[in-house]
Amino acid sequence: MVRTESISKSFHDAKRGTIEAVVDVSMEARPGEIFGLLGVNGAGKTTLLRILSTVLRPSKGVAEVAGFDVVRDPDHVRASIGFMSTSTALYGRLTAREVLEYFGGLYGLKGQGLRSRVDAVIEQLNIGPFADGLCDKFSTGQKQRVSIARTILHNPPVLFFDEPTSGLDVVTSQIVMNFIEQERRDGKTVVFCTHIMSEVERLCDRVAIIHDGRIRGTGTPPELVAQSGEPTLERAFLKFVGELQEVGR
Amino acid sequence: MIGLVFRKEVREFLRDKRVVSGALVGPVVLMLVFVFTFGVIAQSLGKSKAPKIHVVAPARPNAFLTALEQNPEVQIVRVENRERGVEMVKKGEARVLLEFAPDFADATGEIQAVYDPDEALSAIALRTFGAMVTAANRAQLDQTLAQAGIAKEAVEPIRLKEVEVPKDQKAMGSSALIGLLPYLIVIWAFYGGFSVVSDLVAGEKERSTLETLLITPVSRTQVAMGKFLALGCVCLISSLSSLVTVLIIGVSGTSHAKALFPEGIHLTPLALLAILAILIPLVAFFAGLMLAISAFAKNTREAQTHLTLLSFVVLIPAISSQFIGFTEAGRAWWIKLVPILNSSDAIRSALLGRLDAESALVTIGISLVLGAIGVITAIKLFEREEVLVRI
Repeated sequence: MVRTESISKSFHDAKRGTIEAVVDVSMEARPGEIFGLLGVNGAGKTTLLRILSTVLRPSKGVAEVAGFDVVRDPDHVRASIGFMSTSTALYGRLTAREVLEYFGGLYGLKGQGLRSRVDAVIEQLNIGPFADGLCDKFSTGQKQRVSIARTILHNPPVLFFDEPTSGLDVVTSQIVMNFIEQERRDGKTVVFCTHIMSEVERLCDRVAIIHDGRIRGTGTPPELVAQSGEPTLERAFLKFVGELQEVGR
Repeated sequence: MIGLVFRKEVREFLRDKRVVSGALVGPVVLMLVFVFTFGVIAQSLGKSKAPKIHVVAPARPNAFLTALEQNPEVQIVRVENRERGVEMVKKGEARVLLEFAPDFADATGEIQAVYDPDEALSAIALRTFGAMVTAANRAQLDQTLAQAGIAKEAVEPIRLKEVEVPKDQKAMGSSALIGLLPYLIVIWAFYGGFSVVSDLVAGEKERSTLETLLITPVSRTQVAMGKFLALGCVCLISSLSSLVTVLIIGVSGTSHAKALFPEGIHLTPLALLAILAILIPLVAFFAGLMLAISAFAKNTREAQTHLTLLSFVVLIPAISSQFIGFTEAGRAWWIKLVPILNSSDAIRSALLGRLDAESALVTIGISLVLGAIGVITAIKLFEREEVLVRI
């Protein structure tokens, strides 16, 4: 379960003054559900995910992840989440196995338990043929598979995905989306940030449209289409963010 | 968790060619080059031929010139006239030009010695010749006194006898490297880490790996400490590699080593321990400072810009340490209070076998305080979200 209540986050910039990145956001993602955060670049999606993953502290409001408060109990929150983004963020001079063992160790896995778990995810994601190669030498698809393995290594109940297919080829994108669907079937709570409508339509059970740091609409994709009175989710999105007239009919 | 971060960083360092070349191979190769160059110079000085002394051919032969020509300590070269000889001194082709006065007879009379005071070799040749003249005068005087039945003490009531001070222990005092080695040890403590630190935090921000690390249960203080310890190890190994290279060369027994360390290397375990005790807090100071800069910078380029500026701050006292030990300023109390300079000076004293406990403790204390400030600053920066996450 992921829940926020009137969460806000502002930054102070010497040139631009105070920037309201997230304003009064309330949402709830449930176990066995993929909750989509749909918004353009700079809408506040990544900031919201950073608050939920305890990288940033909210300026106000309350957020809970897996039953733990992100401000009061960040250690438990971090132990309960997996985070994957466009950037595979691997260490180029470590092998895939070493990366997994390192992160497994950081998540508290040790000894035989760590080795068994690493072997299991390597097999699950078919990383075996390149598991002992340096990450710098991997293709984008191979890197993304290692990144997925790292995300699920500690079997977290909550998963955050920040535009995980951006820049990937069709095959690798399908691998990532299949993996996300599998996690839903396993009962995980998934929060999925994207600006790609087809991914929302395929994956998301419910969606929050976010723009300028604010939630503009929430519901299932068909509900959002119905609320907007537009024929497609894409046009519904444009209407919610006030850009429909801008792009023309 | 700190150990886990530390081991991962060290593993990455060992696979990074920049670390291997910049922090490990670099100091060793540089020291080998220094030792070879200094060794060649020392050997050539030891084997240097007798200096050439040019003489304007006198109108008539004299016994003093004949004696000079037979003296193996100088080579006498005759020139046809004074003008030609002076021209040669000006051009550096001759070091000293001698011209005997027209009335010079046998070993009595005036000799003009023309030399270039701006040329070290010219001045050395003049001193060599001056010593010969003094010796000749002395021999003549002794003979005259003996013939007259007068004791030497009558004309030389005060005699000076030079006696070398006895040393409690041998060290590296007579080595030409003694001025340079502490400087290199201190400089490599900084530059060893310089090659990797921008990647350590700023580079992780750029590659987004830092954010991945921050969402694991490991605390930011643990991340900072793991990175600090790994960086400190690279700095220390880099620094010690200079010293170890010198020690290995010193005991190798090669001709270069013998020329460079005529008395050998006699560093006591206590002196080595003292050097280590001075270096470790200094390394902590450098590592903390560099880590704080890397954490503060938005990217590696910005980190490198700040670090380059910092390197000048480190270089100035380190370079000063090469010379200050040979001056009166080297004995001033405030030297002990100047960071980096005090460490370099204390290492020099330890190499010479004359480090006193007070200087060592003050130096270590100052480096420790600065190291602690550096580490705390780095940890504080790790706690600041606007510094760690590019917003």
